[in-house]
Amino acid sequence: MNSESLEHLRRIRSALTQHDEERLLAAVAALIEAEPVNAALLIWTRFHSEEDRYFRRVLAYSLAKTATHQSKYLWAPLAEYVATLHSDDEATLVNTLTAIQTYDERDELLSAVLAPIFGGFALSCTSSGARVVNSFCDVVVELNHRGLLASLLSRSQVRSVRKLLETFIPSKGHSENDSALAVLRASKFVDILPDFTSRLDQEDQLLDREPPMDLDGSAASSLLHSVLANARSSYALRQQADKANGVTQEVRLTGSDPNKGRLTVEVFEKLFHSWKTAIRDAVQSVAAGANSKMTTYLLAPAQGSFVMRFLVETGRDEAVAQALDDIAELIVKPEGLSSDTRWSPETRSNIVQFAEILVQNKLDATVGTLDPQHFQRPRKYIVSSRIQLALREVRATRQGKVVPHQFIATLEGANRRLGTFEALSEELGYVKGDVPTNRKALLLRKGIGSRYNFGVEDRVTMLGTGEEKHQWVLVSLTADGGGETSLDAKTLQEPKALSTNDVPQQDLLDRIIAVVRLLAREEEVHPRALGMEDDKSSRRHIGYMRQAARILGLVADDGMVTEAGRMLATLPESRVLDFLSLQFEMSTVGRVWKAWAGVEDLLGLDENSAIEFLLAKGLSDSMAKRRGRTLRKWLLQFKTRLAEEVAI
Amino acid sequence: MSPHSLTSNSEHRGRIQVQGKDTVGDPSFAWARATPVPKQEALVELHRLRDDCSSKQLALRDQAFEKAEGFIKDGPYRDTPIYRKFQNWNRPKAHKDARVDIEVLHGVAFL
Repeated sequence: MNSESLEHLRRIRSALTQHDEERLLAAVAALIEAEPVNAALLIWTRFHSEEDRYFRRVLAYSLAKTATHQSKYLWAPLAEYVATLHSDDEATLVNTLTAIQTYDERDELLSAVLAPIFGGFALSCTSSGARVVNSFCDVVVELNHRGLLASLLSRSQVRSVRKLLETFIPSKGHSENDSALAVLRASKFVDILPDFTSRLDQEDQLLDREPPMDLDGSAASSLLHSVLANARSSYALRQQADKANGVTQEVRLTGSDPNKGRLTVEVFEKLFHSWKTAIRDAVQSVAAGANSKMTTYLLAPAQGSFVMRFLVETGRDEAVAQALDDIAELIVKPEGLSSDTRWSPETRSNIVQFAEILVQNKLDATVGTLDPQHFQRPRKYIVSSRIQLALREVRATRQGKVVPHQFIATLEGANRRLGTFEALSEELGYVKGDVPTNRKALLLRKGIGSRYNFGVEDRVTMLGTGEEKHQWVLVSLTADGGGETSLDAKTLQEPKALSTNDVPQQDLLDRIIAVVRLLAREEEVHPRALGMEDDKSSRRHIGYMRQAARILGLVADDGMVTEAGRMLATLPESRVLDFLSLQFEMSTVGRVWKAWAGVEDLLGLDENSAIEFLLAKGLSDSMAKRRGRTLRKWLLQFKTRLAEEVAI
Repeated sequence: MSPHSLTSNSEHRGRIQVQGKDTVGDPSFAWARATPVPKQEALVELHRLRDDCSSKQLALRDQAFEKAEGFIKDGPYRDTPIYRKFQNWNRPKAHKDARVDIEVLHGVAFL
């Protein structure tokens, strides 16, 4: 390449940088005049990753122009062009078609690199405007005359192209379309296009022996090899699909990181997971009813091995390389896992999981760590059959210890039947554990939302994998020494009398809950906030709700929310009824009713005795009937819930 | 600067050219002007180029001229540069370069 050509290339770069179309075309045209054989190749090797739409059209133009002069390597940019063509630019498509039509120096190689992609290109062309379709038809007839068409289009591809062409109505004076259709109808096309891999290998070797010295040396050579590799990969993928009676899909990523040959693991995981799921859903929706088993594979760039490469950016710390080496060593010798406390239980657990997946799938692995100072460290060879036994032993290894805890906490939940408890403490946070059968009595007469002194054992089981399992077991549960009076204390003074203030007249529990939640948020209890009309009747009903909340201990006499009320406001819907049933059981009316009926808990109460009970306690006939209905409704809801789960 | 120069600064540029080793000096119609070449003018010039061919030359390019005419009629072309080469499908090996070229380098053509 002479200095004049170099200057033209420099001008092309400058025009590209400045987005100056006029200067770009002038520089490309000047280079074509100076290098009629190699101009397109020189531009391609220097600017092959340039995505500018106008530039792509000009490059296609230069391909078409130089194709006339029979360049030895024009097959490479032509193939890459066809593979990456964005079909929305008619001029680019027409120029590319002209280049394919004109370049007839190396037909066999052109077939080998174009065959995997020509079908898609043909469909893009036939789906475009009339000018592209006419040019494509002309090229189809030309390729048929050169004996290439049957190597570029399979029977099913021809069928699709023909279908599109048959619906296309050419303008007057075009014989290309009829001629192309005649060719596509008459010629013999095969089901599976021939495999040209050996021809690609041959060209690879030729390129090694005779690198393109008249171009840009190693850069050009590398690009030519990559075009051959892409084509070879397509043949390999087709072979895999054919063998598996399946379909392969290649997702090629471009962008800052992918262009450097890498991607962050997090992005990869997200892309991989979402697309894998989309693929499965799509396939299942079309294969529904076929009752076919679907297996999705991830394919390596080439057959023979599967390599995962990770790059950890840490400032080239040697300690990191050593650490990566060490965790790989732990898979080679898993027996060291149990005693190796250098790694967290989570890390050890992940290492074991990785090793177990290898074993389960009969996969062996070679792990190589490389850092700039030491280059390649000795590789670790993991043979799944050899680590299987050691892994089993690691899994079986168990060590136990018991750690006692004593703390003050709020009883968040309890189930006497299932023998479970939940507590929230400042010291340990949320604790959920078991209550042994012989200690279930500890839960009797305890109130959810009240604070107690908990005695709990943390029974820790350490597995050989590094995992730790915790089982919390309730040992003692006693009243908190200070602070709020527990319900135990309240129950010591059983009330005997009942005033009308102790009997509710609001039967809708959800309304009462809504009022308490508003009060807990320090919001005004306005009828509209409860979805009610703003009138006198609504305000009277809100008064009933406040009264019911007070009876249940959710609101104090001064109208302020109690701790129980605040607790209710934070509970999920699923726990609200449990909580209210407990509050009701501990309320004056609840306790007097139980005493009157001579029963120990709500389940023993008969809801139909509500009116009789109130009459017996001195309420007037009308009041007993009205408020008795409320009590009956409440009790029915609580008993239904209690029948599902006996909670205290 | 020649009227068909690739690097002319005129707004609308392009050419129609008869090519092949059987021609002398590659007869052509080139334009570089401020207004687009109308379809009709391009067709007249294409017909002139065809009429200037000898019977032997035309026998090698009859389909090529027909296809080139269709290409002009499909105009206008606004996306440039665009290059098409028209040839007879059945041409002797000795005359495989016999063809008609149309290229629109800049601006609009065949309005």
